[in-house]
Amino acid sequence: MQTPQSDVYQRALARERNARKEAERILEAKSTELYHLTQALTQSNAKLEVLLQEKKSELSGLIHHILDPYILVDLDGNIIKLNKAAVELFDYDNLIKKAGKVNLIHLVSPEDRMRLSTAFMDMVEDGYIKEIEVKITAADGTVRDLQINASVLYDNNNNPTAAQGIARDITALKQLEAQKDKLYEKLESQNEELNEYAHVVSHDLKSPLRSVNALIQWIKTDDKNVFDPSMDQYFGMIDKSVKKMENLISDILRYSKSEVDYSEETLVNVGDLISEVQEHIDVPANISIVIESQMPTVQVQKGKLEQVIQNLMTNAIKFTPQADGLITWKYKSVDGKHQFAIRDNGIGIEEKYFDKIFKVFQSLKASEHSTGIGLSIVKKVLISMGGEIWLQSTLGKGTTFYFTLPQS
Amino acid sequence: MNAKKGLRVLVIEDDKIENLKFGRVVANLDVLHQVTFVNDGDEAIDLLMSKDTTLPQLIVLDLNMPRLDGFEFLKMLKSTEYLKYIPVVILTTSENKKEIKTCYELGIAGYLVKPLDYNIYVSKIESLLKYWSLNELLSS
Amino acid sequence: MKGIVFTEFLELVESKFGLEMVDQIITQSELVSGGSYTSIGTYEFGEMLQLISNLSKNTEVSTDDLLLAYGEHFFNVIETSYPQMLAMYQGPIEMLASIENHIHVEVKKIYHDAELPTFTIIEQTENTLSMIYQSSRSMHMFGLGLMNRTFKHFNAAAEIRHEKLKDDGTEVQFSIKMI
Repeated sequence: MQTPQSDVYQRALARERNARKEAERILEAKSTELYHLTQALTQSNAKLEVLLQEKKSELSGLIHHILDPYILVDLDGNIIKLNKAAVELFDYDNLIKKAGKVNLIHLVSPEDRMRLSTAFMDMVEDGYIKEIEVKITAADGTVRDLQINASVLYDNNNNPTAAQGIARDITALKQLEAQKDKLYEKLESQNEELNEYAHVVSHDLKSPLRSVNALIQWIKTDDKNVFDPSMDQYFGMIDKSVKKMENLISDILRYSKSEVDYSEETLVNVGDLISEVQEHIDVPANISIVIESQMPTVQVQKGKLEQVIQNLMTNAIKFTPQADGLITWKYKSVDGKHQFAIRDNGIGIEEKYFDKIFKVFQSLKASEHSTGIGLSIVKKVLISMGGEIWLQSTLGKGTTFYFTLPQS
Repeated sequence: MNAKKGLRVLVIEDDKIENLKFGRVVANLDVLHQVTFVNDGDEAIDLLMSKDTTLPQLIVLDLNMPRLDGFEFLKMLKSTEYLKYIPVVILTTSENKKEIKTCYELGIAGYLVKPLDYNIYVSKIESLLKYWSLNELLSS
Repeated sequence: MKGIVFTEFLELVESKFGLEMVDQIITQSELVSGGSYTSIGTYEFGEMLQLISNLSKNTEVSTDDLLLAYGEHFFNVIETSYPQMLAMYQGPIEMLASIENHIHVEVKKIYHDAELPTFTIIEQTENTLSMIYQSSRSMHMFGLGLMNRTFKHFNAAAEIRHEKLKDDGTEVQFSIKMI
């Protein structure tokens, strides 16, 4: 069966044509598909571009307007970008005009360069550095202290590409700190001097008193026969004055030392401490002492609180002369503070003296309202402990002293 | 009555009345103590260094003095080989804890605070001298 | 089945038996495509079966032998179109052993809808390879043709035995020994 040659060719040709059309159709469909895909990609690309641009300008606006100097450098420390604050601080425009390229290291004082480059290497290694302090000479010629926080920037493959840092001008802070330290040192040495002074003064004041006392004794014994009773009385008065003087000197010494206690704070049960103090002082038979409330345990320097309690107790006893003398301790917690009260039913104090009794030079003067220097010491010690003291009193009925201590 | 043989005492004190007080106490005792008074540490050192001096058996020392004060004197005394065995008792008005501690660290034998009351002063000094006389007697 | 398998087959038929034979087998077969193939199109496997069986009838050459010859011819397509793929292998055993896990994976990337046979390796040494061919197409002889040419490509020779595990040829074990 022989097919005519031309028919075979025609059919082959037709098949080829069809195949070509089929191929074109397929390619067309593919290219349409590709076109749509490209369209979609272009669109999302454009969206991303807009987003990126937005973020970029947000970021650069942010960086530009940050008040602290911001610097972007490459991994060799060459400056890539600065914000306005940095340009002004370092007079960057001038530097770049002179040198063409500026390295971070040239911004800081020569003595800090080694330290900065070490810190920079640490940063490249660890990814960041915190609170590195360097000195720089600013555009206006002043030397400034900067505190730098910086971090490494990485690309998509996590390779370090650059570093950014923000510097804070802490010059004023540093100066204040230095001033504070100086002041504190001065205060401390003054305090020391004052204590020393009080000590020497009291020593020097006491010596002549001893002499006076001895001399009086000698006169009294050696010239016994020529004495008349009135002279004896005068000598007694001299004796008393000398003793009073001695007490005043001791009080001043005590006052000047009252805050100087650097012992550790311990937990102290106030009730136990009151009982302890009570045993050490002479409580006359006419006085009953009652602790009415449950007393707290406080964290204090025990010696100081002891001094407070002892002075207040002695004071209360001194001004409660009647037969049924009663001293009461009370406690409550008020506004986050420990508040203690010691009440007596003694002679009371007139309100006009309420302030005076805490003043050291007021109470030193001999007066019937004087309670000695004890209360000034109490006030001084309490203030040093972060506490307060005040009183209520009615003449003839008694006095209540209140004092507070902070609750840790 | 033969007065008992007393101590050789060196009193280092700048206050004349204090020295009078000390002398008066000693004079009223029935023991004859040999008391030498000097004004300050420098005088005391000069005296102790002099080869004519028989060394005292007790030194009574004030702390607060012009020129060489009590502490300086103590340091010098205790670092001198043939002087460091002489007992030193401090007689002062200072009750400063730091000073008291320093004195004991420097090797004093006792610390007396001068009382205000003269009669108590007399008792203190009498007892001081009695104690060291006894001590001397026992050790000899 | 990918268009390239048809176009290459028809080219082979044309070169061996002439354009008349091509025309004849197409005319004898009932083809949806009408026998117009383009390498980038996709066509029914049934069309290939009809073309081969008609060729066998007309030439009195067995379908197995035809498939073998076709497989050997088809290797040329691989050599010209994917030389970089062949360049990845040091030797024929290594290449044949990677059919399943590498070559077919790559083929699938280019032709998502390609339907490929499965080759399961039973044993492999430096110079021998034993694996089982599985395909509903029963075209193991096509595979054998490709294998023969693989050894030739690497200038090596081999003794390749094949044994039908199923009579219809859908499961065949190949035992290859390089010599």
